[in-house]
Amino acid sequence: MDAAPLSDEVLMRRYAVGDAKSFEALYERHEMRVWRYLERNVHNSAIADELMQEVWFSVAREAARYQPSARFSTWLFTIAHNRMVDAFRANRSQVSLEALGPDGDPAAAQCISDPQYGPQALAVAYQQAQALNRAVAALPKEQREAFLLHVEGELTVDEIAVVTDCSFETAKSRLRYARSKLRELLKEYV
Amino acid sequence: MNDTPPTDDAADDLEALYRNSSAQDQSRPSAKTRQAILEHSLRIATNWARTPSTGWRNQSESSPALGRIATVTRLSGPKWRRPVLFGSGAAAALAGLLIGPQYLRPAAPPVTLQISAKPAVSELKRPEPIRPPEPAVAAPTESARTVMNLPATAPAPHLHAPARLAAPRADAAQSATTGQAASGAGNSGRMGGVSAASADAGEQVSVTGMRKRFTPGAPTADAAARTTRDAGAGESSAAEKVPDAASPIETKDTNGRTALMLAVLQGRLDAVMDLLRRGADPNAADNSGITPLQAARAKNSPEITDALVRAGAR
Repeated sequence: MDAAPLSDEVLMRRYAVGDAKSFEALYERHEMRVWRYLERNVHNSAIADELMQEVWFSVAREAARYQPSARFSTWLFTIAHNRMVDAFRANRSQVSLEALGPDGDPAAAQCISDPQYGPQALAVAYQQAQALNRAVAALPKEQREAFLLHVEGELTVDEIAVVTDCSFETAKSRLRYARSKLRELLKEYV
Repeated sequence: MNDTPPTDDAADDLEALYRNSSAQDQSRPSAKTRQAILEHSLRIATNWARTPSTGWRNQSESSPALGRIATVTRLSGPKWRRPVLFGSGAAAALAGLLIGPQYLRPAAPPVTLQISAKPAVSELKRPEPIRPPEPAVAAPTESARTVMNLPATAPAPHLHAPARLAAPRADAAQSATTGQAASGAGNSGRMGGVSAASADAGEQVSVTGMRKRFTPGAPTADAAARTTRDAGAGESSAAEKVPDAASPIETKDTNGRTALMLAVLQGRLDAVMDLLRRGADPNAADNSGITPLQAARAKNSPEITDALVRAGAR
């Protein structure tokens, strides 16, 4: 029988005393979530790469001071949010929505190349992924971030409010508007 | 945490669509980024494994943002934080010991003990002017000292015997080992302790500083130290000293509280039992009309309550 996977908090504590494998496990567990959160917010893989590096460097460096008073994912996405805000303030360019054509959409391109899809399914998956990415990118920044924190970070409204430094009602409202708009934009898929 | 769903809409389908689409999204950080992150974490882990408490200081910074983080980390590191926290805590504790007791009973005036020709305290009366302790007085009655938490070092009133009745008390040094006791010793000097007014019979002796020792709920260090001293002098416990021949057991303080009442308020079951065994009145109310039984019930002390009821308290 497989042992239960260690919690994020336990992995962090282990890493803080020098267990590098714990960090690897932690990174594997959250890599794609953080990546998608960053990449879909900044629309630029290079900037997302740089931010990704900064976020995880911070995680590694702050591990010794980490206190599990909140969920690790809340802490992690708080760091990601702060790094992203710093990046915006530093005037790092943001790829515009219009620049994301079919050829420029990695998710859509991946769908096409996936062998599990038949021709018709490929087309649908491609269109769906493209539509979704466009819809998420079309959201206002705050709403997009709230939505991504919820679906990628699996954060509650309370946690989103903490991460984005706003009130519970504001976070809830942003999330509601984001969903409403996405539903409107994706009505043929939802 | 409030886990209330952010909307009443059925969001599952939307999120399911998002997750399905994301699952197909194989875009990921570049291999270079991934390698840099893991190598960096490995370096830090290696340093931590070597020097767990200081490994983070050895990390080099690769960007201004991380430099800021490292600066914050250094400033809040344990190297200076521990002594500062310890110093702050010690200062707060010292301030509490020195200042706090003065505010516990701010309105209570010094208490005067009226003594007869015999070296006994018959009752407590209004205060006399504070005077420094004189060496040729005996210790106050043990009841006042023990239950009312007077310092054992305070000289006691004595009218005719020029020599000390109480032992010279090695407790000054012993008291200094506990914060409260040390504070009490200091107070006895500052506030006068006990002074003999004259050598006549029926003399009033001012016992001051008493209010500073009324520390209900905090008799621990001082009482324990005193009990230890008394045991060394052949006394079995602090409570047993209370009703000696020269100290009426019903002596009251300015609030009309007897030794029994004070013992109840301090939650000292042993003292309560001893006082009751020696005939203390279990129904002696204070100036507010509060009886020991009422006080014990208010303090939610079932054992003391039972003892009082068994002794006839109403």
